[in-house]
Amino acid sequence: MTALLLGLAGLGAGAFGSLLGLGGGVLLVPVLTLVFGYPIVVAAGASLVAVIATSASAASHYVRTGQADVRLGLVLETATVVGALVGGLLAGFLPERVLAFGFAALLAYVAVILARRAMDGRADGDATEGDEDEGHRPLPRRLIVPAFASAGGAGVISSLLGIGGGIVKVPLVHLLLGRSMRVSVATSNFVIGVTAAAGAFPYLARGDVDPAVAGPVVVGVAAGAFLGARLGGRINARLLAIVFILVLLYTAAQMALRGMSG
Amino acid sequence: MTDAEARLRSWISTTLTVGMLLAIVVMLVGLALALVTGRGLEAGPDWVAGLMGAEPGSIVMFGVLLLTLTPVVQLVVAALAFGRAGEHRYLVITLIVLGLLVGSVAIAIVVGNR
Repeated sequence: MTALLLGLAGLGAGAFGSLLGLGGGVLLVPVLTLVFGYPIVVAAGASLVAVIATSASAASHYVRTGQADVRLGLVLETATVVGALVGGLLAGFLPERVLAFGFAALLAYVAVILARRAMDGRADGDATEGDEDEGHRPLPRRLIVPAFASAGGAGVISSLLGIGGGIVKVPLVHLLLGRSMRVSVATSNFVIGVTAAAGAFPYLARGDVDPAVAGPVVVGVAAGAFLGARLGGRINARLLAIVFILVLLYTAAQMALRGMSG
Repeated sequence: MTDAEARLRSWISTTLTVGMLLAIVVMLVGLALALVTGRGLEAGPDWVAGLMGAEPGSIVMFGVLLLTLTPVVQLVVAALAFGRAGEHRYLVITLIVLGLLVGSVAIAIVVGNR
């Protein structure tokens, strides 16, 4: 029965996650800890593995249709993988309270920036782009340092909290690099797989991946992500941005609560 | 779109799909076996040994490992595609990512076994 419920939780997180360019971990970790009562390490371990499935399923579709900028993704991965390594080491030293509040602040900040953009109407252009193949655009020289710093930070957060880090990568590609929301979501999904794998290996090596949790969750998430990626091309870009903002605010509140209780 | 670009996209996409599906099928086999036999999904640090006895938990863990290795294989495939297309700049970048990932596996094993 628990396995079935875990599978259903995974299905929901996977569908919603792939629509938003999130690995789904941002939704999974709170559900596994707050609803099912698993320890955070077990939730994060299962979540990171599920995130790889979400990313693989969605990225496969996005790469084939040319929506993901593979070359930009690979450039960003050089920083996210290093960040994931650093994050794994840092996790043993930083108090969880500090992490939770820092994360809550970051999420709220990104939500405000995205909301301002949506209100300015600049997201309108995205809705008319459709599935158009934008191809590769090189990283502008002046943005190399901030892009690598942000991608590295995304990697750190990913392995610290057991999430894919799309919540940082989508705004990075969309806001900093000026790519459309659709390309940002697609490219983020591509980057998440490699980043989550780098973050998952330490959990596997420590024995923090519980097959009784990871098995049903991963299967559910993969099915959900499959559905989400196929809905993605039909969903309005502005609506996607608004949903994303709401998810950011919700997760920020969750993180603040964890910081206060932790 | 050039042939090389189509090849790159197709190879990466296929690798991700095949790796993911293979891992999911293996996990489903483990879950189904647990359901049918009534055996639990526990798997200790020596889960690899349990594969011989078809322990459901060990089979799920094998699926987890396959899934975790999928992005690694995808990088190898991307490197091959860039190499064949003569895109040396992105071949080098892909190999750097691959090297960093393999390094992280090595560190994870060393730290995990301490």
